[in-house]
Amino acid sequence: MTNRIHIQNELNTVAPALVHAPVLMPYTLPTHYFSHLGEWTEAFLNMDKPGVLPNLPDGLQLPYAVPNNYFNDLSAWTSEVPHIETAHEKDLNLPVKMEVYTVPSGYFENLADDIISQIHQQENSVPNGYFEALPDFLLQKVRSMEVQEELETLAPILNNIDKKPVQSLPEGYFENTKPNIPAPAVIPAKVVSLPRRKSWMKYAVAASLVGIAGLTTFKVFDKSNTENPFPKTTFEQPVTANVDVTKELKKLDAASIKNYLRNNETSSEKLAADPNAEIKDIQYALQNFTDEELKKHLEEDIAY
Amino acid sequence: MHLDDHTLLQQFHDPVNKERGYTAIVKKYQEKLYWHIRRMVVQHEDANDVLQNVFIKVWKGLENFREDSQLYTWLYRIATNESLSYLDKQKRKASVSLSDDENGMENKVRADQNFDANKLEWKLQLAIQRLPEKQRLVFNLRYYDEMPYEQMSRVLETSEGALKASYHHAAKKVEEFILANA
Repeated sequence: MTNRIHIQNELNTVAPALVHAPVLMPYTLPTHYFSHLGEWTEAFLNMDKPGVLPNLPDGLQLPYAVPNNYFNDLSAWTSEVPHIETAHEKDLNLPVKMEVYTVPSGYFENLADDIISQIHQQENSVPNGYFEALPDFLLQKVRSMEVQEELETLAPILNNIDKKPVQSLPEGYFENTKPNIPAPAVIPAKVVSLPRRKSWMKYAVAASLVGIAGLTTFKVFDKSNTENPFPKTTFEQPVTANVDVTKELKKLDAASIKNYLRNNETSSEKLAADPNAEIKDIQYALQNFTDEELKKHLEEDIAY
Repeated sequence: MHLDDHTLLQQFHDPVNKERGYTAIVKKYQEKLYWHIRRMVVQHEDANDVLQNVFIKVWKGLENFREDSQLYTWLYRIATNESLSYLDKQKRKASVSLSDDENGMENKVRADQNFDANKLEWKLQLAIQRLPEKQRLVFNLRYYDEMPYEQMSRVLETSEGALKASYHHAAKKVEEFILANA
C-alpha cells in the first residue's frame, strides 16, 4: 500500500494525468490460463509428433487453436512463394511471370565452391618483393640465432631483455628528415692574365707617328724650304730627323689625333670602351686554346 | 621495399638519377646508422649532428666507392669513425679523463625523458655506457646489430679474435652490472 502511494506521488509530479488512469489491463486471457499453464506446457514438451498433441487431461483445453495439419504442411508452404495476382493483372490476362535473365547451367550448384576457391587463392598469394627480400631476411635470422646462442653461454640474462630502443626520439624524425645534399664545390676558374700594357706609351707612340707623318708631309710639300729633307746618310751616321716633336704635336688639332687613334685601336683601348670585351676574349681563349698555346701567345705578346 | 645496394649505386652513378639514388640510400640506412650512432653518443641532438656528417661524407665518397666491400660495411665504418671523432672532440672540449667521461655518458642516459631506473632495458643502457669506448662499440654491433665477427673486423679494422674476446668481456661486465643492480 505504501509502495502504491509512493508511485502515485511520483506520478503526480511527473505525469499527473496518469494518476487517475485505469490500472486494469485491456487484454483478455483464456479462462483458467494461469491455473492450467503448467499442464499445457508439459503437454507440448511431451509431443511425439509435431502438431499432434498427446491426450490432454480431462477438462483441459488448449488456450488457442491451430489449423489441422498446420505444422505438417508448413514446410511445403514455405518452399513455394505463391504469386498473388493483383486485380489489374487478372483483367489483363497476362501470362505467368518468368525471369528474363539467364543463368549459366550449374551456376548455383558451383557457386559456393568457386567462392571458397577464390578465398584460398587470396590467402596463398605471395606479397610483392617477397622472394627478393627472402635471402637477406633469412641471413639476418641466422645471424640473430647465432648471437642468441652465443649469449646463452656468456650472459643469458641479456637474451631476455627487449632490444627495442628505449631512448626518446622526436616524433616523425625519420619520415621528416631530408638528405642534406651538399652544394657543388665551386672550382675557381683558371685566370690567364694578359700583360698589362702601359697605356700612356701607346698614346705617346701614336702622337709621335702623327707628328712625324705630319712633319714629313709638311717638309715635302713646303716649297719655301729648299733644304733636302732626306740628307745622304752613311751607316756611321744615324738618321735623325731634325724635328722638335713637341712643337710639331702642338700644331696638330685634337680631332686629327682622335681620328688617328680611333682607327688604330688596341685591345687595352677596347677594354676601356667595353669592360666586358676582355672577359669575352679570355673566355674565348680558354675555351678554344690549350694551355701551351696560351702560354706561347703570352710569351710572344710580351716580346712584342 | 628498398632496392638492393648494387641498383642504388648504379642510380647514384647515373648523373640524371644521382640525387634520387642518394636519397634512396639514405632512406634505406638512416635508421640503422642513427641507432648505431645514438648508442655511442647517447643524446639525440648529438646523434643527429653525427648522422648529418656521415651522410655528407657518404655523398662525397660514394663517387669513388667501387663495391670492393659491401655498402653496409662502408657506411658503418664511416658512422663509427664519425662517432668516435665526435666523442673525442667532446672530451677535449670538456678536458675530461676517461673515467669521468664514462660517468658523463651515464648522466646523459639518465637525462633521457624516458629514463626509468627500474626497467631492465634502461639498466642495460647504463651498463653499456660504463664500458670503454671500443668495447662499447663491439658490444653494440654484436648485440644490437647482430653483426658477424667477420664483417665487424672490416668495420673496425680489428682481428676477429680480438673482437670475440672484447665482446665476451663486455657481455660479462654488462651482465654483472644488471645482476648487481637488479
